[in-house]
Amino acid sequence: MRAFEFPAFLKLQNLRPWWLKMAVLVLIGYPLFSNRPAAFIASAMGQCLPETLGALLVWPLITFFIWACCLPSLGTAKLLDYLAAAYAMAVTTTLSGAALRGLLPAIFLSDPVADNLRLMRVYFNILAVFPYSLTFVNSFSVSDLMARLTKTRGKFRGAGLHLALALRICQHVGEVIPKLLLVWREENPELLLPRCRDDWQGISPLARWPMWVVLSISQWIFACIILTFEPIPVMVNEIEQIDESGDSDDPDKV
Amino acid sequence: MTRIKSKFAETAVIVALTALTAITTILVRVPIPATNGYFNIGDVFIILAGLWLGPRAGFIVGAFGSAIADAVGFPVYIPATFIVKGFEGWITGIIAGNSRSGSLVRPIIAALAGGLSMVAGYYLFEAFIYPMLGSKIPMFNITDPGAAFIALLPNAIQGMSGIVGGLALWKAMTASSQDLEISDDQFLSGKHG
Repeated sequence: MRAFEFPAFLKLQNLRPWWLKMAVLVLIGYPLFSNRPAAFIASAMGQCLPETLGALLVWPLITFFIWACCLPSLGTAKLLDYLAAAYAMAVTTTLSGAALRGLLPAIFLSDPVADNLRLMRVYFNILAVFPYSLTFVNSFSVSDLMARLTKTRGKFRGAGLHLALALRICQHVGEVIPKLLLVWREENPELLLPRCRDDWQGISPLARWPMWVVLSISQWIFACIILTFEPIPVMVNEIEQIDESGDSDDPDKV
Repeated sequence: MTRIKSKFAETAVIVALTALTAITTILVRVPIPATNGYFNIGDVFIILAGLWLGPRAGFIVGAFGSAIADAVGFPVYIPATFIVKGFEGWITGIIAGNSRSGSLVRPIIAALAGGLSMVAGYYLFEAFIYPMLGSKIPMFNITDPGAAFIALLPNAIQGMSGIVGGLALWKAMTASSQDLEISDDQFLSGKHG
């Protein structure tokens, strides 16, 4: 089946010049960085809906808006990949928040509705931030920047090469996160059932959950590091070659 | 501490660790409503950066990685985080120094100092600086000494997980370059047989 292709003018990466692209991206992400849009929408909805319902609906609405803006740039398949990772992280975070509320009630507010709204906000925040930040980073082309730098001379060339390398690494780190789900599945085929593990027969069922959490987080961090650092030597070599070719082209250099 | 001769390799590793700090801080976050803050595991990479690459990298990774994460959902904590987490990475790197002698004592002391500075730093900001600023700028009026005292426990757990995780990762990183019988610089730049 052929994947649906969005029109080119809807893709943020095609926006020119770069500062307009940056401005549009910042404008799209503004509800994630400021409470003002959420407060405005909630107050507008509060006129026709009960207050709590308005506060409940505002974050899903903002999240859908962000997804709608990211969809043409990312495409359906990639957005779904990112959302799978984002859902896993959002569920883990909110579940741990809810579990902590039971274990350490002193650190939570006395108002359970405010607590629930806060956890829900964190949940939707992660669902929106993840695809948005990857769309932001991937909207800028490293190869375009590098092609321009190969023709550039002067003091900005070095800074530009460092910037290109940083951008490429940020794009790569974004691609690593969805892959962590595969690593998780390979290492934890039982997923949410650590009590069923055959190799943990002698361990108390109460100790299995914290053990599983600690092991899972450590596996996740190790996988994150390995996948992140793996291509760095290649990227560094590529940048160094461009840097060296620029030095050898320099007419003043003996 | 590893001395990376290639300027691009150093940039690459610092950017990667900064991005990993931001990601782990954003994605594994447990809200602490008493102080409007949250628990996270980003300190693992800050301690790692300080131990592995020294005070400058430790500061950059801690300050920028964590501040980027705070920009998402908790912007009022950006000034505190920039200073506290930056200092955490810096002090870790300063104390660790050139700890390639094989002894674990100095890195452990360095990581402990980093973790403790984070707990003390946030207590200072939440108990005194933010309430003081809050009397003049309402935005900072989000916490008080009582709430800061309550947050000591999650902050201490966060600090401990950062110390243990950071030390474990640092040991794994340095061991992997030694197993390959190459220098850390070659390991990072990929210029080895």
